[in-house]
Amino acid sequence: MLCLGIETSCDETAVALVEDGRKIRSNLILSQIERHQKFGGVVPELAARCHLEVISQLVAEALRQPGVLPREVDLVAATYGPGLIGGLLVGLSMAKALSLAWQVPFVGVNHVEGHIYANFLAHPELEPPLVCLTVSGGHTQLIYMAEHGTYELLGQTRDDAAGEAFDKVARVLGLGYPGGPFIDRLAQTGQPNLTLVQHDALAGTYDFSFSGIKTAVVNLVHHLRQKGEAVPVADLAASFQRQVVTVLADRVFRAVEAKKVKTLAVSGGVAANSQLRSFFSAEAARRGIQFFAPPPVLCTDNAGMIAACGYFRYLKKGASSLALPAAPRLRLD
Amino acid sequence: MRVLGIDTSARIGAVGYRAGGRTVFSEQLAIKPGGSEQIPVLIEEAFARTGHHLRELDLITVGVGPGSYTGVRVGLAIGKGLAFGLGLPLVGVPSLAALAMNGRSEAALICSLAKSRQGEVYAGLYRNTQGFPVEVAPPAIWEVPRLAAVLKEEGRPVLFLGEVLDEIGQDLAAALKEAASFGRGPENIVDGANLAALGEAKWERTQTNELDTVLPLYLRRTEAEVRWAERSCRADV
Ligand SMILES: [Zn+2]
Repeated sequence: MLCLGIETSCDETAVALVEDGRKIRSNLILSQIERHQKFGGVVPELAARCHLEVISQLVAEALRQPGVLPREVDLVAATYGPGLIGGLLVGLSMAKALSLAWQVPFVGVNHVEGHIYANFLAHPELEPPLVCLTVSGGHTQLIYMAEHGTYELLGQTRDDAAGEAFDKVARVLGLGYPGGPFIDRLAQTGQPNLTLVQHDALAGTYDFSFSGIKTAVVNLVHHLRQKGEAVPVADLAASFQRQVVTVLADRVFRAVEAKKVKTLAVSGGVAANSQLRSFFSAEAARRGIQFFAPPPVLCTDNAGMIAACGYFRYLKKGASSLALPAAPRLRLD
Repeated sequence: MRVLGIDTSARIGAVGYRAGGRTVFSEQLAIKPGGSEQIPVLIEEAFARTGHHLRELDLITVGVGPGSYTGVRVGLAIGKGLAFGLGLPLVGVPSLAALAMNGRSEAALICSLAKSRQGEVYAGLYRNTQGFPVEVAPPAIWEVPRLAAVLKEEGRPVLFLGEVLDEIGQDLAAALKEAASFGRGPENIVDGANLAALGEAKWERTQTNELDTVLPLYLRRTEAEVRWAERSCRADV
């Protein structure tokens, strides 16, 4: 079964073609990052404008690359939330119209559920039950997946998304946007010797808070600059990153234990972080559980994961209504 | 030609089908602000009810506004999906020109209006000649008092059309007195079949498929761009 997936929830316009929920036939991502860079973050109206400008060419290219004819597509999937309403509506409307024109079913996909499926594309042997941590600039969610289509949201961030904290810390340290890759690289040259936050206020829960760590970095930098002292940029990056990874690992491995699963997956942009990967993989090995992470291209927002998720969702729950509204605050339950 | 017309630039969305110069159906539907999720269902049901099929179509036409940015984008995304999916050309048509087709042809000037920000409207000026709108002044952003003053200067009777008359009709009547007349009921809403006719005429004239190039008539930069431009100007000094 060939599923065309469309993703327009943030600042990536993406279209992909996936076979049987596992095999990528095409996976196109057009990042708008350069259009938003000068504003220091995603401008929703600009994002929506950009999505509409390129969506039809991307759909055409997603079919052309693997040499697939429109009438060979069996299913159309699109993200309907969570995300920015203006962008969501572009992809959702396009997908509904394609489904009408081709007379094939349409499936609306939850973006966060989609992120989990990036792992199913990358690892053909992967099966639930599993615990998945989805961490990016837009979300931080700890999810127990009992089977395809059945989720329990164990915990989430109470303030900033993990990736958002990376962006803000990178900005105050004078690094580029998005912050993740810059901090990752710089942290490798620094010492994680600074204690930024004394105690973990949400210890014992599965929830996260990153605004405290972020604010600690900001305050420290301002304090040093006021006194005219040098800012140990690399050490700060290393310390910040270590603290974030430590907090994430604490929740994740307690959840793995509580749910008695043998499989752990991570996804989302922050899952590309090298320290997160090496720490999680070592800890998983120590506990005798399997650890899965997608390759970097499937960590960021992409439509391959939406097509894969759409396929499994269709098998389990059938098609969505063509009247499905966009849901900017869609939850995963 | 068999042409589908879609307009989602205002509070009431419109879908119309015109074949061989006659209206097959013309549907309207109140859409939530920023919504218009119901339009694909409306299209599906209208075709089924009239015993027609999307495969018959030759051309897709969509209103490009001005009006609700999000609304226009939804209409264009639906139009693009249908055009690409059915292998058809797409053309964009100014929604205000389609609205002007509702105007009585004896009116000297037709002023089509759409809601913009507080205190401002989108307005385009037209004359109806043989049922088709001839543009006198292109869609632009106007402060309501300024628009009224300029039209008063013009000295000709003006027929105003548009949903936004609910909000500003009284101001225009007060300023222009007996020179102003106003659309009633459905005259203030775009008719999808009219839009299709306008699109068909454009297609016959241009033969240009706008599937990948059509843009909403934004008429305004995003807030972020405006602020950024202001900042950079100051930095230059
Ligand atoms: Zn995401």
